[in-house]
Amino acid sequence: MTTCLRILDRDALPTPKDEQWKYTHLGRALGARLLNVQPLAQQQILVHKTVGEICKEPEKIVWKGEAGNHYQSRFEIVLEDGAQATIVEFHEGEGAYWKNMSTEIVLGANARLNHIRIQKDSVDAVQTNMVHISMERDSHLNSFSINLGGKLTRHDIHAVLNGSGAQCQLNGVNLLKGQQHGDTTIIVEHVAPHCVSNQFYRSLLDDKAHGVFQGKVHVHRGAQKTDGYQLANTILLSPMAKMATKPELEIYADDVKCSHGTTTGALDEEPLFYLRSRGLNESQARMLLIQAFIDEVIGKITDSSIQTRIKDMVAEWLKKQLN
Amino acid sequence: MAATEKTIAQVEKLSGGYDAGFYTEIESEKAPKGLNEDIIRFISAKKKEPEWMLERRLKAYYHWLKMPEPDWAKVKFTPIDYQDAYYYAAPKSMENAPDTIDDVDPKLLDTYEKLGIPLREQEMLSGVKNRSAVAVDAVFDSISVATTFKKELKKYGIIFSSLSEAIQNHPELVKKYMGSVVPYSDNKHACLNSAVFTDGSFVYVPEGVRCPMELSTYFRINEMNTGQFERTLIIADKGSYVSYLEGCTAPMHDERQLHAAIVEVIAHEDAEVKYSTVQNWYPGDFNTGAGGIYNFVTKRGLCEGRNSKISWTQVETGSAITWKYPSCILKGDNSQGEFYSVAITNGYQQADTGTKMIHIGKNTKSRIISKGISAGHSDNTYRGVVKVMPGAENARNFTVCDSLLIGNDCGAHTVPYVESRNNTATLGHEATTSKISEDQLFYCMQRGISKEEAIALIVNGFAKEVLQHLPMEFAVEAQKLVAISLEGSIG
Repeated sequence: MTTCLRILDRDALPTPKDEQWKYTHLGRALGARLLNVQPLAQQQILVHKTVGEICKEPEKIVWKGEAGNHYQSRFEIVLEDGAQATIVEFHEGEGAYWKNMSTEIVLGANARLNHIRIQKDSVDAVQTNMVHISMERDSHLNSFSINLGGKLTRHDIHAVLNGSGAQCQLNGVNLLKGQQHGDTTIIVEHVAPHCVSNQFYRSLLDDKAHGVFQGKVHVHRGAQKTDGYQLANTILLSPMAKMATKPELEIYADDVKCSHGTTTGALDEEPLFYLRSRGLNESQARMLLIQAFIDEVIGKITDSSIQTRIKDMVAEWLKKQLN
Repeated sequence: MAATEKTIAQVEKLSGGYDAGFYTEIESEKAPKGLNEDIIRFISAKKKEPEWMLERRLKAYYHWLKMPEPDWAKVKFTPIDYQDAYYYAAPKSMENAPDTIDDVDPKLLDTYEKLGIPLREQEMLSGVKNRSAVAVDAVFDSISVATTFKKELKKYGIIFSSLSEAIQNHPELVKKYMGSVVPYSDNKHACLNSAVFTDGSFVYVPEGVRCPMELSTYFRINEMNTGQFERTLIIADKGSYVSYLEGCTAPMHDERQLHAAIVEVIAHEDAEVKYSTVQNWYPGDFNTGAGGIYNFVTKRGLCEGRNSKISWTQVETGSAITWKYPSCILKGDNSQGEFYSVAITNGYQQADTGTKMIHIGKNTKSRIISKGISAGHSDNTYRGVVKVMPGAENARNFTVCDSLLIGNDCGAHTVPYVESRNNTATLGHEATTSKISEDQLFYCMQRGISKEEAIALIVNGFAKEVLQHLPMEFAVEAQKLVAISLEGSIG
């Protein structure tokens, strides 16, 4: 770890030149105070399921943050062949802190993981999270991530589909307001043939929030019969909000089906008009439409109790923002 | 011609590969090899340019020395040795500019004839070539050989000439507009062009005039080891309309050649400019990738006035490397930008092409339709930017970019950047990547169409949305070109 810090010292944080298109100004978000805080001893949580182990109950893991701290954390989820689990990762905290995380997800053959990440860090916090996923033959990952908190958050996901028949679902919701900056960057590498990957992200940006979505599907030579899909929709609720989207495809195999779509805009007038003609007032109508927009992603979560909980969180956020 | 002969000729044409690859033996005058201040002074003197033009060139040259190469495109090539090329080459016979087309060296005219571009107005009008009238500016290496229909166009007040002539005859227009859309400091290739550009076309369409014929420029690189640096400037004044075509070919040489061009288009209030390109530079050797043209082009249009419109249509089949992003700056309220592109790569070609749509004015609209087809060992990338500035209320964009892969050794990539800073703007983007389905092929073959022809048919259908935006006769040419470019990609 000291070597890592030395490298950080030497190469410093990324500059606008490294990230011309979507610069995350980490230095400014952290401020001189947090940048120079010595990190707390490495926090580490390891979830390990052995061959064939099936856990029915969701397992909840909480990452807390306290003002003035700097965390270098490591989170590992390892599911051996045929294991099944549901992991709920919850982030919360108070005051200004920096959580720099490295998450490693390793799925053996036929493993099934439902991964739900609820990020409700304090509005002054900074979270940078690098996620590595490696998937073996016929493994399934159903991942859902909701970003609510944080002054600046950056969620980088790098998934490698090594075994044929692997299925990777990456879904997420970003609800940003104030001066929040939320960045989701995804790279899915199809190394083996016959894999399916799906990215489905929806964002709501209010006030002066700045959202970034960058998704990439990289199909290696030989990864035939790949099915890759990306969809990113954003609704800008305020004239000052800003969204940058970059869905990328990089394809080196010819027998594949890959597509992506993105939309960015305001709430559609026509359904709004329809609902108002049915007697709903404007705020009710807006609320209903926006909720439906977000619910579509939440619907991808298989566990119904978690689904309801997240729906409540979204409703609470919307109530605050829309009224 | 009897039908059978026609078929034979067609088949021969199809199997000939790159049929514009011949070299014209002609004595030419070149500037000394390399690039330095003297060369720029040499070019400027050759063109008898005024002092201000030379100053601009030198300013660009000194800036160029300091500029880094753009490195973000997904293309790989050995660095260019800028000192190992000629920056000026012109046929000797053109030294004293011929007054009429009859004084032009017949060898030059034959070259264009062979390429299917007749320069004699008589022939075109008498229908020998069975074509509708198209005014042509023919550029051969570094200079313009002839510009047709000048007199006819003058009646309408339209200025259509080579850029060198325009600098002499209309310095006020050139001074005002040149560099206003693509500044010399834009990128390294554009900067080089600003320093050493040799010729190109100049078009000015006055207020309220609808240009009665298609204007076109045909670029030909002939000499070995030369670069072509042409520059085109099109100005459409209030309420005018012009459709402009550009075609390009080069002989097969083993060395790589640099082509760095700039095209600037300015559309004032209510004006419309339609710019079509059929790019067929020599793509390099099919099996080894040796030779070919580096096509590094900066094309940009400015929708200056309200309700103006600029539309780019391009068919890219040639060049070893293509680096090209025809763009629109939508500054005027209600202005519109369009981009239709078919890019086909085969052999060892690499293409990184796309567009930028910058929405500044209110109610601005843009539409992007891009079709990429890759075969052989080639790489084909779509790279586009749609940017909505805070003031661009109700801006609309619609983008579709589809890719088709033929074979297992090629690559197709899509890199769209979408940035929205206005919540009344609506942006949509769609992209797909697929291969030609076995079912489609099977159906065609079962009807007696050979595999190769079936692929050409399916690809043409795939590209139809773009090809239909080309002026009619070019659309037919383009369809043939599509078939030729894909030759050898299967089986």
